[in-house]
Amino acid sequence: MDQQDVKNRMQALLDSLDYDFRQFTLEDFTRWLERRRGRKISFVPWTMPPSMSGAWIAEANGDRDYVFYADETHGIHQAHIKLHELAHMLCGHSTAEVDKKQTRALLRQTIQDPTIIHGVLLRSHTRTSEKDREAETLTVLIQDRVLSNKLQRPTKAVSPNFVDHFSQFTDMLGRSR
Amino acid sequence: MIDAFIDHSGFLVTWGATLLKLTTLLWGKKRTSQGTRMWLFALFVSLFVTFELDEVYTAIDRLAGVNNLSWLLAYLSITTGAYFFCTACCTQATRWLTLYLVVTLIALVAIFPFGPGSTEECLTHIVPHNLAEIVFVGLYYGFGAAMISLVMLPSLRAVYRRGRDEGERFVCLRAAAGTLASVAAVCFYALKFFAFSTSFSAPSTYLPFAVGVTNVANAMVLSFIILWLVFFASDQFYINLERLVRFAQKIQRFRKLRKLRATVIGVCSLPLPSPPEATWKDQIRNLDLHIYQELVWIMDVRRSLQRQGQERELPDDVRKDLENIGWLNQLLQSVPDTLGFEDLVNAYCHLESKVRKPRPERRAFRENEESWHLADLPLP
Repeated sequence: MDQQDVKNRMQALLDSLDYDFRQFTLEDFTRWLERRRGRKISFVPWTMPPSMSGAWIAEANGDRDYVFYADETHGIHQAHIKLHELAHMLCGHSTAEVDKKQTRALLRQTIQDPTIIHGVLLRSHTRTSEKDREAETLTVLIQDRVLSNKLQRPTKAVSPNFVDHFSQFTDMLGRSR
Repeated sequence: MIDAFIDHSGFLVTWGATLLKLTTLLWGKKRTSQGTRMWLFALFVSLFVTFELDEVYTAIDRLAGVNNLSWLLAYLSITTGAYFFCTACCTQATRWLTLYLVVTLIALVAIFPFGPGSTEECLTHIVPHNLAEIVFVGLYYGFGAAMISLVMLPSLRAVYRRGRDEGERFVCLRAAAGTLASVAAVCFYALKFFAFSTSFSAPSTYLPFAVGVTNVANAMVLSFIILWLVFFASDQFYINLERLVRFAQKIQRFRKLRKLRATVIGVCSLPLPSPPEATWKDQIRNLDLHIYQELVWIMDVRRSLQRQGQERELPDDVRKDLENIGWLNQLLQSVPDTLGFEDLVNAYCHLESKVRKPRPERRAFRENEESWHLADLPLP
């Protein structure tokens, strides 16, 4: 599919959201998404395999989604990964569903062997690169919206440099370190 | 021909500016002492330019029956104009400046009959005819240099103080403009006086030299005018200038990060999510976001490269370029995860320079090849 088509669809999706991006923080956005989907979202730092930076697993018989993100990367990168997984949810993509008991067992096992999560996801991983492209496009559009709102706010007499407002922006995205 | 064109263009421009200033002064929203002084400056500069026109110069001399009277009138005008300009820019020490102006004007008038007034009519003032003429010119140049110093020194001090007390970001830029303006002004007066004096001692020998020095001095005065205006420009000017500088810095950083991304992605064998393509207009419009995206992309590659050796799926062509991968991997891993956004961007930009000019460090890396090969890239 044409990149512009993807962008247009994602833009339309973003415009249809009833979220006020002026108050955006990753935490606030996550809570809003939880309410919208009726499912809780847990972020889990993880030693991810190199082929993926983040992963999303849904509890099959529960009301919780787990978003795993690479724990050995920069906080800014982690925030981007988290938002990318949330974008998958917004797009309505499907993901691996694991039984609640299995999820807990899986989490326990992965403490001993982090690569197990790789196997589980690979077995039931249904995402395509097209879906990743959609999620990445939506992620960038969300960031663009957040940043635009930030820049429209009244600023100091002396303009802040891009690092000043961008650091605030990355903080809002939930930079965790 | 060209000189005449320049003279007449200057005449039109200065009088145009004077009239424009007058309308602003008369019908502008707010009339200030500074505005009035600036208009008086424009008026006296216009008079100076008018007296220096060849036709006006000779006409006044003939009408008054005094040789080089226009020269005196021109100097009186430009001296008074300089006074108004300086006092408009800096309100400190105005009383001393006024006193100095009066003394200079009286001295110019007093010395004139013994200097230019006693010699034949001369349209170009490059070679002095007697010592009194040197003193006459020296008085004017001395006034100009002293005026600049009297205004610039307290102004520079005020700028530094403001920078210290209010943490003004562009204080260095303003101070640099002020310092350079002072240097240009002093150089202008010194060069002019030097050229004028040397040509007096041996006109035939030093005339070409004096003409050359005068041209350099004229370039100096142009630089001085621009720098002076920059020095006394409003804060808004500096805010805009700062934005411009930061925008240029952003473009530079963005280009560096993009180059680095292109380099590292070339050796990455794993598929990575790519940000949506953007036109250059989009990139310019939202440079911050694109810097951020490049950074995220590089960090994606960094993570993949870090563990690429563990995948045991290296294609043959990538395997052949192990040294390159190891080298880039080592560089990327050298950026700590604890840095803030600014430091992170700077670190990766710095890394791009290293990738571009890798010779000494890469040689050291190659010499240590055994260690990275085994430690960082465990092969099947």
